[in-house]
This record gives sequence, C-alpha cells and structure tokens, in this order.
Amino acid sequence: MIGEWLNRWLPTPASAHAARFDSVLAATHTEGALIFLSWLVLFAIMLVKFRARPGAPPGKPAGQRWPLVAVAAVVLGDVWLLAGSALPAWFERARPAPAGAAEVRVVAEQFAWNFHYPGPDLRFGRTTPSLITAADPIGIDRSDPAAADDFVLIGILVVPVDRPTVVHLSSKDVIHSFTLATMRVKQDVTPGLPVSTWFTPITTGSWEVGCSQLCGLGHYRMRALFEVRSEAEWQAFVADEVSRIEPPS
Amino acid sequence: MTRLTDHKTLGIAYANTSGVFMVVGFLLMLLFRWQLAWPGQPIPIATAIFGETNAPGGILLPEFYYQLVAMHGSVMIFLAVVPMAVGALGSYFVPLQIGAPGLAFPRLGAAGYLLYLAAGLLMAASFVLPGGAANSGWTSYPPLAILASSGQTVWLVGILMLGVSSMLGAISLLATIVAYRAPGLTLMRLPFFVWSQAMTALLLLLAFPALQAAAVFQLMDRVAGTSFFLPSGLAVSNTPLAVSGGGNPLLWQHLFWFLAHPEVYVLILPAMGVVAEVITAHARRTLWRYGLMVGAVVALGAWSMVVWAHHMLLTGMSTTLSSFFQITTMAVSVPSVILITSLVVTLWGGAIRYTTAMCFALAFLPMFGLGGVTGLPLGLGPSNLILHDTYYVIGHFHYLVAPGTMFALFAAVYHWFPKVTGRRLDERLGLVHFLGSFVTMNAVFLPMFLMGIMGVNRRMYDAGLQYQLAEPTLVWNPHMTWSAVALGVFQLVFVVNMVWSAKRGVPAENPWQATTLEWATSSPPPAGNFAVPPVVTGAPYRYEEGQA
Amino acid sequence: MTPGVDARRTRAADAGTWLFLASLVMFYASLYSGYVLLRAGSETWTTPWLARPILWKIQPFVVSNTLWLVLAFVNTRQWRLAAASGAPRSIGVWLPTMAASGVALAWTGAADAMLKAGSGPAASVAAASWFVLTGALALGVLGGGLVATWWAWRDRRSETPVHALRQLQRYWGLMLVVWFSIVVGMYFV
Repeated sequence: MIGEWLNRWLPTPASAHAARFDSVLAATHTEGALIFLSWLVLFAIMLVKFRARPGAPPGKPAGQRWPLVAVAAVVLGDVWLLAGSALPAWFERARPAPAGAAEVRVVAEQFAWNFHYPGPDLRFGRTTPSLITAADPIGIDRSDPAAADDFVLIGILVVPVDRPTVVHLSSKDVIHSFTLATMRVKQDVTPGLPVSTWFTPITTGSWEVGCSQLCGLGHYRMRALFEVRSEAEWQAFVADEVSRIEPPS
Repeated sequence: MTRLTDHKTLGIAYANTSGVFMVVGFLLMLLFRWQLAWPGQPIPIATAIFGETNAPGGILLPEFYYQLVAMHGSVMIFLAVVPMAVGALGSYFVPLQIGAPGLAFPRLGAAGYLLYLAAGLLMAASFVLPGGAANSGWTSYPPLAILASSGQTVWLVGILMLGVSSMLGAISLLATIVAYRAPGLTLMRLPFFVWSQAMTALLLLLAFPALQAAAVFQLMDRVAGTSFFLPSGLAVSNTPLAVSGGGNPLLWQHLFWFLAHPEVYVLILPAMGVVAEVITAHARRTLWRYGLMVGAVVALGAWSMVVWAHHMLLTGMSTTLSSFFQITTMAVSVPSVILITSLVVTLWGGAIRYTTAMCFALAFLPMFGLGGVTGLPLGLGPSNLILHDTYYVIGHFHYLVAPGTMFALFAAVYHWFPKVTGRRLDERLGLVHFLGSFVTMNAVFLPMFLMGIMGVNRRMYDAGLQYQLAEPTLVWNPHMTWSAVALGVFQLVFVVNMVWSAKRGVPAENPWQATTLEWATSSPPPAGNFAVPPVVTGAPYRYEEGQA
Repeated sequence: MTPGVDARRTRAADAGTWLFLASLVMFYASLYSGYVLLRAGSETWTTPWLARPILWKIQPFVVSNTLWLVLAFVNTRQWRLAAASGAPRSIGVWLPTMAASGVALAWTGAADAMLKAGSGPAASVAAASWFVLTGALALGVLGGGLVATWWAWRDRRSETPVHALRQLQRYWGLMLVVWFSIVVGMYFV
C-alpha cells in the first residue's frame, strides 16, 4: 500500500534495478509508518485517558515489561530491513556489469557534464589536458588510433535500451554527484577518485542528468539531457556523431 | 553587574546570545526562502540592506544565496541550538539539579562563553568581507571550500574557537557533576536531564577535536598552500591549480562526520533530558525504567561515534565498509527507540496537566518520532541512493532539530522561566505560541518529504526551476515560505510573553510542584544557590508519593 | 576551608585534567589518522623515510626533541616527588620551561631547514604532514612549558600541590607519547 503510494510520486522507474530499490524504499516506509502510526494511536489514547481530572488521583504506572515487546519488535523490523531488503539489493548493485555493456566516460566540471563516447571500436582513446578546447572539454588525442572514432558531447547523454551501460565517472575540479533519477543512479564524483557504476534502462524516454552535490555557484544549473533510445536508433546516433568528427588538422 | 563566573549569569548570557543568533539564523532562512518561493523576484529593500554586490536590483545573487544557506546551517547548529541546549540550560540547571553551589571551574566556563561570543561575532561579521561569508554549505566539503572566498577562512577559525569553547564548557560541566554532587546524590539518583547533559558534554569533548583537526588541515590548504584535501591534477575552468596535489577530499568528510554525527546527538540528547523533566513534573509520574533510560543514553552517545560514514554511502567506498555502517546505523536506532518509548510510557496512568511547557514537550515526541522514522530509509544504501541530497534529508533532520529540539527548548523555557525569574509565563499567549508553531512548523517541513521522494535536490538556488522533475513542486514553495513567515510571527508572541511576564507575570516559586533539586531553593536562586546545602535521600522523581 | 571542600576541588581538578587529556588525545589522534590515511592512500609516497636528504638535516631536531621531552617528563616527576616528601626544591623545577623553549627553538630550526631545502608545506603532502604534526606537538609542548613556568613562579615561596604536579606529569607523558608516535610513524615506517 505504502509502496503504491510512493510510486505515484517517485520518478518513473526506468531501469532494471529500479523496482528493487523502490521496494527497499517501500519497505522502510512501511516499517516507519507501522511504528509511527500505531505509536501515534497509543499516544493519542493516553493523552485523553490520562489527562488530569480534579479530585481523581493518578492511576497505576505501566507494567515493566510490555513496552519492551514493542522495542523488540522494532529491532526485529530493523534486522528484517537490513538482511531481507536493503543489503541484498545493495550487494547486487556492487557486482561488475555484465558483458556486452555500452560504455561512456563522464567528466564532470563546474558546471557541466561532459560525455566521452568510445565510438564503434568500443575503446576510449587517450585524452590530454593540453588539447582541451571549447568544443572538446576533455582533450581527445586524435593521434591515438583508439581515439579516431571517439566523440564528445557536452550535456547530452544517449544510451541504448535493454542493454547495460557502464559510466566511468571522474571530476576535474570539485565533488559533483552524478544523478539519473529515473534510473535510480546516484554516485558522488570526487576528483582524484575515478569510479564506475552501471544500469540497464528498460524503457526508452527522455529525462535529465542532475548534480546532487553542492559544487559551486552554478550547482543549480548543472543539468544535462539524458535519452534512452532503441538499439537501432542508438546505433544510428553513434554513426551520425562519428560522421561529424573533424579530421585532425 | 553579576559576573560570568556565576553559573546562573553564565547560563543567562548563553541564553541571550544564542537567542539572538537564533533570530539571525531564522532571518537568513527567510531570505533564502523568499528566493525559493519566487526565484529571481526582487525583494523591495534588499539592495539598500545587502548592497549591489549581493542583491542588485533587489534580486538575490547565487553568490549571496549560497552564503545564506551555509551560514543558516552553521549559525543554527554551532551558534544557536547547541549553545542554548548545552551552554544555557546546562550551565544554569545542572549545578542546581545536583545541589551544587556553582560550577567546578567558573573561570573556564566564563572563558568558554567569551570564546563562543567572539567566534559568533567573527563568523557573523564575515558577511562584510569581499566575497562574503562562507558559501560551501555548513559541511564545507573540499575542494569547493578550499577554492571559496575568504569567508571560509573565517568560518574555519570560528570552528577552531568554538571547539576550544565547547571543550572548556564540557570539562567544567563534567567535573562539576563528578565532584560537586550533593551528599547522597548517587549517580543513579541524578535527574535524567543531568545524565543527558553529561553525555552531551562527553560527546563534544571527544568528537569536536576531529573537526578541529580537519579545520587545521583545511586552513593549511587555504593559507599555506598545502594539499591535504586536494588530489593531483585538479583544473578549475581548465586552468591547472598550482598545488602539489596528492591529498584526498574524502579525508575531510571522514573527519567532519566523525564530529558531525555525534553533533546530531549533541542537539538531541539535551532535548530528551528536558522532555524527561517536563513530562515527569506535569504528568505526576516517575520516569518509566529510569535505569534503562540511563543505559540507553550512554549507549546512544557511545554508539553515535561509529556511524559517521552513513553520510558517505555514495562516495564510492567499498560495499563491505558501507554495509558495516548501514548495520551500525540500524543498531543506533535501538537506544533511540528505548528512550522515546520510555518517555511515552511514563505518561501511562499519569495525570497530565496541559500546560504550555507540557504541550511543547508532548509535541516533541511525535515530531522527533517522524524525524526518526524518516532516518530509516536514509540509513540504508538503496533507499539512501534515491533520497540522498534531496529535500527529504532536509525534512528529516529539521524534524529532529526544528520541531524536535526547538520544541524541547521552548518547553524548557516555559517550565523553568519561574525558576529563573520567579514569575510564570502567560499561559494564554503560550497556547497561541504553541499552536501557531506546531501548525506552521509542519507546514514548512512536511512537504519536503514529498519533494525529496519526487527527486528534488537540496541546495538549488532556483528551487529546481531547471529540472523537469521539480516542476510540480514549484507551486508549493510560496506556501512553505508564507508558513515560515507565520512561524516567525508566532515567535514574536513568545518574545512579547517573555518580556511582559518577566516584569508582570504571576509570581511563582514552584508552580509545577516539581521534586527535583533545582526547585528546593528559592526562585530565582540566591548567590551560592542553596541557603542550606541539600542532602539527598532518594530518587529525583517522587510524584507518586502520598497519592497511591 | 574545610577538608571536604579541598577534597572536592582535588577531585574536580583530577576529573577535569583527565577529560582535557582525553580531548587532546582525540585531537592528536585525528591529526595522526589523517596522516596515516593520506599516506596509505598515496601511490607516490612509498619511501619509508619522510624525505631522505632533508631528514639528515633535521636529525638534530629529532634527537634534541626526544632528549628535552624525556627530561621534562622525568623532571616533573622529580618535582612531584620532592613536593610530596617536603624536600627542598631545586632549580630543576625550571627544566620543563627550558625543555619547552628548547623544543620550540629546535622546531623553528628544523622548519627553517625544511623551507630552505624546498620542502615547505606546499611542496608535498608528506612535508605538509610533517609541518602540521610536529607543529601541533611544538604548540602543545609550549603550552605545557608555560603552565610549568607559571606554577614555578607562582609557588616560588610555597609548595606546589602534589596533585597538580601529578596532572602536569600526565600532560608531559602525553606529549612524549605523541612525539614517539610521530618519530615512529614518520621516520621509521
């Protein structure tokens, strides 16, 4: 019940693991609501029942045992949340991505998301800071054969549906947090500590990449487009972008 | 003029100063709540007050907005709530409740207050610096905080001073409890409030040094060009930073949260202590399972030092380590549940008198409860991932501290005002204050849970105007801001009540017929507190005697 | 003053000192754990010695620091024993003062040598750690020296209370532990 109510408000669950993560959210809120509401009822009854009345002496205090049963129930609930819901889902996410995944490098900076696509050869070419230009904020070194078909998009992330995508995250300057709300993906991007995460979109759609960690005055506008396309459309997108690569002068 | 070396003068000085900072923190909040409700709309007189650099044409710039946000958090936590809960209530009532003539080290206590005052003035004055006050959030994560303007340096110096201040205060308070208890006042006869204050002081004493060490590192990074928190290869706007690198930004987070999580309990434990005093006196009941509560408060304090990394579950730490912290976090809920259960069960069979103090103390319980249960999803990895850094987090910790701790502080004022002044606060104005605060507080904070579930991030200058997913929530913000304004108006009622009642209130010695030691002397207490040093022969709460 | 009041004061002072020392332990331990974490996480910082060439230049600092701190600790103990037995005090009560100034001077010298050799705090995290850890210790030693000086001067015609000296001795003990941790952790590991 709580889960259905939460689903009305949560961003569309559009990745393979979203439902499982949402179920953890539902489980925690169910336990929370059970504790809070039953407690609230008891509390309200006590507020009325034990109000001071002129002439009536106070009654007997509560027994020494029965409230501890409630405490024990909460402890059991916590154990159930941890062992039955949260930790299994958490460990499942920590597994490496399955083979055949699409890969994108994400380089964060104040206040933009830069996406480095490996192109059809599926290999990321070398990047060099000295080659950074306005059009290429990560500095692809075209002299590296692997870089020949690499392309960079500022603020546009496009991935195929029904196939895992691995994102390799790094930051140039401060801490950002890579957020795909509909994919249930959120990962801090700390400079000096590159990190990867992955997800499998299950529906096509057009959403947004957000930044969830205060990264400076422009933090509020550090947003990018995020599109999940069908495999064929995605292949066409890659081919189109590769065709636009300007040969090194 | 009475001297700060008297613990009652000291307590009142802390109360007045932290009260002023509370108003400052509140006004900072109103400013940024305006911006959240009506992004980019000019505030009529803002340019005249804050200048062209902060609010040209009355429009708050992001530069100024982020200062307001960072300083609201810093002021409320370090300069308002903790000094009020620990400095004011602890200094004034702990010696009285243990039957002592004063603090063990009165000059240490006074020095602690003066350092706090200096740190507060320094931090508040940093708004006039070029670039303004600190603007990297109260968490001050590097590298952002190291790149920030000079207000951040002042913030760090202020934190160092506050650390020394709270250490002096904590030593003075704990030594008093150890050495100056009245004859017969054994540890298990202490009022629960004293236990909560002792544990709070111990937490401040042991956890604050970690933040001070971190502040030393960050200060060095800012002024001496070191790289404790700066990794190699940093480039800002594609210009390489001229530093050696080799540091680690996460080290700050570890040291910071090693303090800042126990700091949450520093905010909460004194509140629990107040609620225990008020509930027992106004419901005519002995605390249910006092011994268990003492055990729980000690366990809570000790355990709060091994949960800090649950603030860092998404930093990329290993799954094993993050699981460890998820387990410790769930475990810390056990003593909290014991405490809140004991407080509620205490009411069983009682004779509840609905005074204003009691209303606030009772309202603390569900408000704290709501803050507690919304901590569950934040403490577990998968649900934390959905909610981390959204408005849900803001809602969660404000329920603990704003309607939570603040309500307990209000309860303390209504309960102990007769002790301090010899007069009662007006109960009709008190009722207005209570009902108004209760409704408006919830109107401000309840929508935040839903905003968080919808994925709206915190720390958004424009309230999320750029994001599709925030679009439906934008219309809620004006209502929340108006509620915040109304909340402020109801606090004016409170201020009027205090000023009026201090002069004209109904004279009262012990209007609640409370049995703890602070009521065993006249109100206000004389110099030296007790004309005849008290001797304790039994438990602190004796409300059932002669009634059974 | 009744004896009861005196006993309470002693008890409060004892408790206060222990709490102060506990807080200091947390402070130095936090600084130290910062150093350990940074060093453990570093890929370039594998040399067992801080920075070999510079180490030889500041070695006199290490040796003299150790000597001064041991002397200060031992001397505070002698001072306390003398006070306890009512034996006449000697010029030795000033040794903690001298030790503190000795350590501070030696630190200044060593820091100067580091700066001249291009190993200032901005040069590397290793050098920065050296400056912060030893600098924090030097400040602590200076503070202890000031207290010892003040007491020696204040009580030049009377007896310093034994329990106060016991606390001073504990403080010097802590400084010694911090110093040995720095020496072992920075120079020998």
